[in-house]
Amino acid sequence: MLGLAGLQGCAPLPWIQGETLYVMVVTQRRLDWLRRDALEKRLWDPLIEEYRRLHPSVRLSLYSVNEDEVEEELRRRTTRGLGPDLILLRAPMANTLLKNGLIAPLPDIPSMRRSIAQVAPRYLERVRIGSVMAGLPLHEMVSLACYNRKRVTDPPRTTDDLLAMAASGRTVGLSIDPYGIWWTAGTQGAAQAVIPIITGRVSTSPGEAQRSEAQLAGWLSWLRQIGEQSRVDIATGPEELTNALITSRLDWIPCFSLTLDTLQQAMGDRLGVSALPSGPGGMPSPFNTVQVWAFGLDSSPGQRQNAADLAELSVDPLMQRRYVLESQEVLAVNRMVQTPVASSGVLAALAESEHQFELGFPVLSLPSTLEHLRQVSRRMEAVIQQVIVGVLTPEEGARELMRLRERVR
Amino acid sequence: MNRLLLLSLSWVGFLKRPFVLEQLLIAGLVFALLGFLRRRERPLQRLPALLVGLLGLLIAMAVAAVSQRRFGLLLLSWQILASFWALRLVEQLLLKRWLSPETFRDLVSRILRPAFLLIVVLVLLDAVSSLRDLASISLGIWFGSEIQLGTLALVVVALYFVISGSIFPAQAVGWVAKRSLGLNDGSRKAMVTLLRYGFIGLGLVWGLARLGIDKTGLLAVAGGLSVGLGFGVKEVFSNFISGLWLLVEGSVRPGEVLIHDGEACEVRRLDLRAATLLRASDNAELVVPNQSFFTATTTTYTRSDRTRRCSFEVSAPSSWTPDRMIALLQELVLAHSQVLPAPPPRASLLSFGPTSHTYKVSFSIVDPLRSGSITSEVKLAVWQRFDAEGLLTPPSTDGVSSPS
Repeated sequence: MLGLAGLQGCAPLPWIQGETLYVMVVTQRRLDWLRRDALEKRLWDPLIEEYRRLHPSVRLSLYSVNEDEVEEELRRRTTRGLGPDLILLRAPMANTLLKNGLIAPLPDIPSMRRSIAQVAPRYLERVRIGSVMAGLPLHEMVSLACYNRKRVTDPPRTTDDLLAMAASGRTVGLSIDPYGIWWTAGTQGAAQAVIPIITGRVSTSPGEAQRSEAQLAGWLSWLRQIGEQSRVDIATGPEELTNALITSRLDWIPCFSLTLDTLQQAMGDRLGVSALPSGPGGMPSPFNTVQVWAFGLDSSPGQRQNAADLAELSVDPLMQRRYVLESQEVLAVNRMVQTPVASSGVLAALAESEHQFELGFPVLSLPSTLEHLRQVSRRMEAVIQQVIVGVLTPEEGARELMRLRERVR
Repeated sequence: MNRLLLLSLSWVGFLKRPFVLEQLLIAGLVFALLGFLRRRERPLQRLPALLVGLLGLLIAMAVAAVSQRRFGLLLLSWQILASFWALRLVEQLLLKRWLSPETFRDLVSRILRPAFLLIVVLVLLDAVSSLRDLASISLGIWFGSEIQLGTLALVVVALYFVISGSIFPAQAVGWVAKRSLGLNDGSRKAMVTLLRYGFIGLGLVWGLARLGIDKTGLLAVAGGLSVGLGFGVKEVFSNFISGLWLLVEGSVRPGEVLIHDGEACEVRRLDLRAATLLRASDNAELVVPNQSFFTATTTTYTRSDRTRRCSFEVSAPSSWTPDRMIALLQELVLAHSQVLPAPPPRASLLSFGPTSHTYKVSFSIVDPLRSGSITSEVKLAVWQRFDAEGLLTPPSTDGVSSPS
């Protein structure tokens, strides 16, 4: 102990002096292939630059962990005292980790109270568990549409346009996962029927069940119909869709804003971005996630303070605006920062998608845990897949989905 | 590269955490105790010291768990120590009994211990950093392909184990081939060496494919290398090709006996650059470049069969008729236990004079490396018989000549 203490106190070696802030970046399950970009993104540059300027003696050590492994990883690291100081992850995952005692709630210190006060309440609601908060929202990501400008000059504004585009020889991709297919529920008027399946909160109003089942059957019929189009490809996930767009195998896909950087680098000027199309049933119901900072359990007081300083800096209005402008793939959570839609078509598409989410599919705004979302999405995907390939009729699929909402309560 | 440096040194910050320091302190004390016991209790062969270490860590963990402290690092130390203990047990109780000392030593020092060390390093790196992120660090573009640290490390480690460990499967295949196809020992050894080169060659091809090296770039390097071969490393390359050729041709194989610089030698190993010969007369090992077998005449006694024909000249007094002397010499030679009855020993009259005649004696033996000692023993038997028959006095012999 004395030896180590002496080493800390007197060592002239530069690499052992100063503090290290350990930041774990949790990559989303279906977007784990972007993990390298997650650590080397331009998104980080402004924050790291500014933090280094303010805290020159603190080294930032970033490492990534897959969402599927994060609980086990945190458990193992925490028993050794080697857990991270800060964790960047999506809101439902933070809720899960807090419930399982693997992260600390937001510390009740002045700098954190200042940070919370800057964040729009709708984002805070996603991580509020009772009287504590699981994390500090950092930025928001949404589903939108990506297309090949060389092949699609005018992106479809409605699902009918989308089908017409497919009929005219353009290839369209969808995938049976929350990123790739949930948005279609709103376009076919089934968003309100999907919400009870996800939340398990079923209305008791008379006739609600029949109405919901009919809406779900209509949505599934449309999915069956679109799946029968020869120019519509149903992929296994966002990675396959992204690669297909890059290699020009597909001309139009639903994409997640986190993939925009990868697409932009691979496609350059060929990449077009727009909001998802509306449908006869209303606006699309895009998938949406909020990235939050969570605090680890093993930090020394100095490391905890450094972590809080980084989190506070990250929600600063100027920093949030820089994220939005420089990354062109996230939206700010700071209540004072407006998305500068006039400066960029991509940002306009992001803002429109966020607007669609708020109006059409607010279910994900509610605090939920990741295991709940996973359970629901896995079951929904199974039913949707069976309907598209013809194992179930749309009506049978609708009945299966209705049963799901009973099970997830 | 900054990320590599940062991730490699990221463990330093953990030393600021009390949870980590107290665990490191306890583990350090236990290891210091273990080292002390190892020095003091030499007759106990270290096994009890290891057990004391394991027990000490176990008690420390139990105390930490009861007092709600962190003990994951102690558990990790215990796991590493227990794994090392288990490895030593396997080495001592199983492998040492089953394998020859040489094979055992090679297996332990080249495969088992390096593999254990590698696993421990990876576990420790993963504990303080992220292996996945370390592996994804780019080292730049080589021959048109982006090389990541993980891929390069995997290829280097895999090639090390292929080069070090390919001898074991090759030997197993050679043993099976010898049993099933009835190969002789020389052919088996040649087969083992060729198989080993085959495994290493496949490993290299796999490594290049795994790294995604662009073939065009590789061809450019090969072109440059060919110029280098023409000047700088011509000899090395020539020896390598000669070694492969000799193995395929089978003219010089491990286990064969040949004459090198006038001495009978057994080929012990045929490596990429040189052959190792065991000289029978003084038990010295000679390292001879493969190229020398390729360009010079090689006398071998084991090419088609392992028998060697030995001969020497002897002078005998003319008081005995040649017929009688030839019969005596053939009888004496045949009486030696190492002399083969077939082909039969032969004695013949080379020259005759008024006082003595010269005879040549030739016979076959089964072990070419023992030709010198067996010839000497036969000569001794001749001398003893001549002495008993009174043929040595007056000094009528010209002495016993050396075998030709």
